[in-house]
Amino acid sequence: MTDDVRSVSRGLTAVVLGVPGVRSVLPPGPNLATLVRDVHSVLDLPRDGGAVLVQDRREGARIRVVVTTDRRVPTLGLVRSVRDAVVAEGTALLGRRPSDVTVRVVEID
Amino acid sequence: MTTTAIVTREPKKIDEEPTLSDADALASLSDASLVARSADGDTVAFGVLIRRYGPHMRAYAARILGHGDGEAEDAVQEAALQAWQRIDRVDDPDRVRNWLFRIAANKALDRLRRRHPHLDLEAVVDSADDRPVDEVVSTRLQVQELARIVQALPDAHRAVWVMREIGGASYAEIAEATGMPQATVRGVLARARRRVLEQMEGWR
Amino acid sequence: MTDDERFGAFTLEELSDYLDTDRTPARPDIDGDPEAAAALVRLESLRTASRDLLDAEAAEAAGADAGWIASVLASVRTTAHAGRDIPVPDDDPASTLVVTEGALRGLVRALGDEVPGVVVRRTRFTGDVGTAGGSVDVEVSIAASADGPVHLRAEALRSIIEDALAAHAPFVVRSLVVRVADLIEGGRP
Repeated sequence: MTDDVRSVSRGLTAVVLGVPGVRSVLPPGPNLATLVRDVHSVLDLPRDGGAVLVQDRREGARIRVVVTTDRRVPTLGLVRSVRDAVVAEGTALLGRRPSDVTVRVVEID
Repeated sequence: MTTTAIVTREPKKIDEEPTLSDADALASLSDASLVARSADGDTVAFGVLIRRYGPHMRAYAARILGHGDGEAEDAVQEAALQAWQRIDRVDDPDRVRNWLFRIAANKALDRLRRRHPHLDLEAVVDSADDRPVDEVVSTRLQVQELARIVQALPDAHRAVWVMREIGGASYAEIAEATGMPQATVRGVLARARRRVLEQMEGWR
Repeated sequence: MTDDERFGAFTLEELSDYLDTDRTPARPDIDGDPEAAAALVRLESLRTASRDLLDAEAAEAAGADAGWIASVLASVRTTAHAGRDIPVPDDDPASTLVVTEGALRGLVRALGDEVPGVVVRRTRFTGDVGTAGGSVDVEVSIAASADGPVHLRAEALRSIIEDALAAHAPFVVRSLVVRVADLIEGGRP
């Protein structure tokens, strides 16, 4: 990830953590490689405090968020709220709407 | 292995060892429950299972390998990781101890084979092993003596003997693990037993 | 000692085989041969010592195992089985919203941990798991300790799971069954 997308990643991570019910954000690792079909981009792991994968594409950014959540907050509404927050912040940081956003809940604690 | 830094707003450090109380709560579960939960992705349950049988798996691998250099630990680490990959395919969860032992034996045998890269394990049946032996501490002199004798066996003798006498593996299981035909396994085992008996103190 | 050496009328290999089958079926010819019987006793003592070898070393190592075990578990956590992706119903074509099977299974386990005398083992989802809002059958298998009201507890658990799935599962629960896979008398569930 270039410096630009790294700072976008940090910004998005902070916003996701602010959504009620989100407990943690996990950066993609080898076991989540299925999220990233392009082999080269597996190497674009977020660093420096950003746990959200951001890939700048010609048609718009591709964003991957993996979260663990609190069971006191209903997951269905929560996952949509995370998406909404990511789209809003992503649009603000990148200047245009992301073209592909994935939000994945891997643990409900 | 890269560490995954998980980003969280809470002080709880999720990327560290699960809290002792989680493992404590599961520590009394049966093997069958631990296997089932592990198969469904419960890493804490798997941790309990590995803590329960890890020391024995390590001792078993060490007996097969004969000498140290930390190889037994490496073998058991590999075995535990493979066990995690395959834990959803355990046929009989109540006998998971034996299942874990079989995996540990396979990893130990892989390492034994690497010591003789151009030979089949069977072909080195009679080669001597003069590397320093590990000490086994036991209050029973007979056990210490046995450990010394077993460690001094050639690799193939020792592997087959340990798998049979300590691991309780069947001839078929030993054949599959070592790649030797069953008839050969029986022959090697008989020769290993003969050597052990000859050398045990007090044998006529 | 040679391959042909006999103990009474029997070779070491014959005695070993007899030992391997735990002396069943019984061989009165071996048992009745004094030298063979004495040799068998010696072989059995050796076998006991062999089993002790493992226990002795394991006991000694038990305290020292923390290091390698911790590192194994760290690796295991990074390759946790997430199971299938369950899509969440949503109108935005530019989004993919997913709850993993693993997340729901962990939730069901945690709910079971809060009901005394029961332990959730496995949770199976069958049906239209891959369709957002699809119809899914849920089967939860549990172990229960026999020294309590098993059916009451299973029912209580079922009700708790039903509420939780309504809040967290992206699918429609067509059926929910809690099955007692194992009843434990006084031991570990």
